[in-house]
Amino acid sequence: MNRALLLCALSSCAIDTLAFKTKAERRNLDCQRLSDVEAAARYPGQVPPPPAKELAGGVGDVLACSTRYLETGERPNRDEAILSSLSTQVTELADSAGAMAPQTTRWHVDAFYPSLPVAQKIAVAARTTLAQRGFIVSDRVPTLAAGDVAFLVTLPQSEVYRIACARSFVTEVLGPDEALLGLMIVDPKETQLHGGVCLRGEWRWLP
Amino acid sequence: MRAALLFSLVSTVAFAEEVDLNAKQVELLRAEVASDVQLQAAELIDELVYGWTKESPFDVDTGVVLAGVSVPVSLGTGLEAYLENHVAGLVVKNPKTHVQFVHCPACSAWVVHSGAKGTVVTRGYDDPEALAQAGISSGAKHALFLDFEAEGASLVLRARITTLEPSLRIVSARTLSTATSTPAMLRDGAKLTSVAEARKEYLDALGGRGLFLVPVRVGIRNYASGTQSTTNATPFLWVSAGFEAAFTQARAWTASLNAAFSWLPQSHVAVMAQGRISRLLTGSATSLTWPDLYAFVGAGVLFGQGRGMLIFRTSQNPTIDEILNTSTNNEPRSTLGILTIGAELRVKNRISLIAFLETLPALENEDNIGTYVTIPLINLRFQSFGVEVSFCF
Amino acid sequence: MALPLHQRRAVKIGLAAVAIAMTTGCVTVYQPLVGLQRPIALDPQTPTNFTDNTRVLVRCHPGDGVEADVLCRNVRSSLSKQGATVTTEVVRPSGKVAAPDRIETPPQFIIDITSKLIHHDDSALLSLLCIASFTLIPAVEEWTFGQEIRIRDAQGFLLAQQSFQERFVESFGLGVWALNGIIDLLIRPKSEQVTGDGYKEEFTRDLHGHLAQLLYNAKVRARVMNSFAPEPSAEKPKGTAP
Repeated sequence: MNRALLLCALSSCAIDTLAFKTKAERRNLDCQRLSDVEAAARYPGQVPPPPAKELAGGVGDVLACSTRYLETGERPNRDEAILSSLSTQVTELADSAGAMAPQTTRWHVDAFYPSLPVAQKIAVAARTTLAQRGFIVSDRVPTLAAGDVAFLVTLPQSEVYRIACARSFVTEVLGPDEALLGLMIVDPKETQLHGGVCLRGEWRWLP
Repeated sequence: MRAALLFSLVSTVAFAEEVDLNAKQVELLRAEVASDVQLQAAELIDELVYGWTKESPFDVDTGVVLAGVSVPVSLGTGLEAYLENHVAGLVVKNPKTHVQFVHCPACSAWVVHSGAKGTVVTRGYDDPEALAQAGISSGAKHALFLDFEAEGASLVLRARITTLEPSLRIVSARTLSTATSTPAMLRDGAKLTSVAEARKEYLDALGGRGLFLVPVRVGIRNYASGTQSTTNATPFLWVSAGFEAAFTQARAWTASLNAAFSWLPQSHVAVMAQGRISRLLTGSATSLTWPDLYAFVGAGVLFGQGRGMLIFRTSQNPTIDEILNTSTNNEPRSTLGILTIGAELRVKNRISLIAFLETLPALENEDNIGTYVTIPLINLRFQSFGVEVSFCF
Repeated sequence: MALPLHQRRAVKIGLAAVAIAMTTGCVTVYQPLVGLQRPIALDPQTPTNFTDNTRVLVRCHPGDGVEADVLCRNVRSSLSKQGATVTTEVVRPSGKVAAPDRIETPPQFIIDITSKLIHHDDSALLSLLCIASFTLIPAVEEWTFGQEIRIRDAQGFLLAQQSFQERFVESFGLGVWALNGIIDLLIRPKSEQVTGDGYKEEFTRDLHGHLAQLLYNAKVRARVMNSFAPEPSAEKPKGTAP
């Protein structure tokens, strides 16, 4: 089935299809305004080429809306908020992390998120981004010994990443040429990812 | 008490049925979404494999395990199987990628490995040492992971190839994205083309639609019964052919000119010439996949001869003698102007269904023919209603 | 005494015109375009979202078709209900701050809200048709607004930012109003009704919800950036008891 594409050249549209959509359907659209020229190039056959006077510099615009793949409410709100902006958030954090270690560093990535499938998506996105930037990236996730983990879970959040990082370095889970990029949320009501880098036993939060 | 218990049981059953129904609806919705996603996901895989044919991750043919395909969170596993088959089929058809898929069921199985550091439970491809020690490694040195995620209106593919060595180093990674608003190119798997080439093919296909059409229409017009008339007009069957022009490929505005012919033995022979101007209502351009709705206005001239045309005579009501008169020498003739408004539902510029109302200004004040609809403010009477089926060539 | 025929007709037409004018209304549809339709994890109805002495300065910048002071007032009300201590500033087009609230303690977070009219469309042809048809054919007017929100800490460090866009389509006329009124009355559930001021409530709910979420995110970001160090207690206002 063709995904609905709502394209309405506002100056010439006889019926705004918005009028026939329910509230839920309207909220399921991501929209942007495009110039006539850009819209005609992007959606050939759906947006007519603009008249010559507009090509010569006149302004006309088109509202182009795309239906979201998964409707609001299909996934938990926080998961949806994180996944909808996954590329943007992860790219920013991966770029900041990449600048904190030498190019020869081998990167490991782990994500800490209440839902395991979402955590995996976050980690994969970060690994792929770092690898595309030319960094050495490993798919292996460094794991501490069971005793260390049992102790770490008793610590407050302010300490857990710092001590886990130090412990990873001491126990040689992470070598001197290796770094861990950790991505996580630290509050159940937030919809943003935080990042931190563990390098040579020192944990640093990313701006 | 018993009634309350019974009520609670009934309401529990009703609630359970409602929950069951909701669950079914959610599953149906998910299935629908998955069917939408699969075309775009296949498109992304096409682009990935096309990229490998231009710049392969390997210099020589290399065995690769298809380690995992993960689909957007909340979508089912049926999509994973479809995408696995699609990528496998593409790689087989495109040997220039130098990727050769290797069968390795143990790679995706859970492996328990006990060593000096403890017991570790992992997937096979996460612990190649364990696979090697167990002697169940397929010999492949690389694993391919495909990860799809729905990010708003974009579907994102993250593909990575990892070495099956203890370091699990990523040797190739690509991120590709597409949007719901972009039509899938549906490229031929055996002859993959670039996005630019596929777009050109698409534009050529659009261009091939042409600005001109030849519509052939079959229709029927019915006239309202007059208040004073002793007889009713018989419905007129019409066959017409003509020429339709659009101003642009979008076909938002079209104009057509048609010649029509109607004949009924013992009743009439009539011809008509009619012009129409149509405006697309459903958007600013015709859809390649959905029906389009047009509104139109038109004007025409009708000339007819025969007893069936008596009803259109403006001077007086037809008499019984005139109706019974069979002399062809004295057959009534009428020439009438017609104004039309109507709507046309058209599918892919090929078949359409048309409904219209017509007014005959010359008969505005006559009672031979009645009125179907009157526009009150301007007192415009529509005396005729018709439907047509049109085939465009 | 009975009026002559032509006068009675004139009276009837006049009464009909008055009746049409009195019953004719607007139907406004709100469509979130960018950002506002995304879900939030926070419940803006919770009064304890910002109870731990969160001090916020909301600064509203002027824009075409936007009443900055009303916006600031509404945002203050919304955030205050969630437990924050809010002060507001309305920046005039000249850049001067108009009548800022008295600030007793320095704010921890500064929210800058810049609103602007991005697009306005009013079809003259439809307006003429509307008049000619005694409003049976609706006149359609459309506005697209945008908001740019930036949240900084007291030192000016940018903690969060987000852009929003929304569109309002207003149809004026007896036909469209009556038709939608009947559909609202008989078919549409209350949450889907388009006649009345429901669009304002929906937009306000979206904007204030996202603003609260953004502030919450900024607050958590500030905690992380300070490595979870406890926040210094606010300076007590002068003249108060120790």
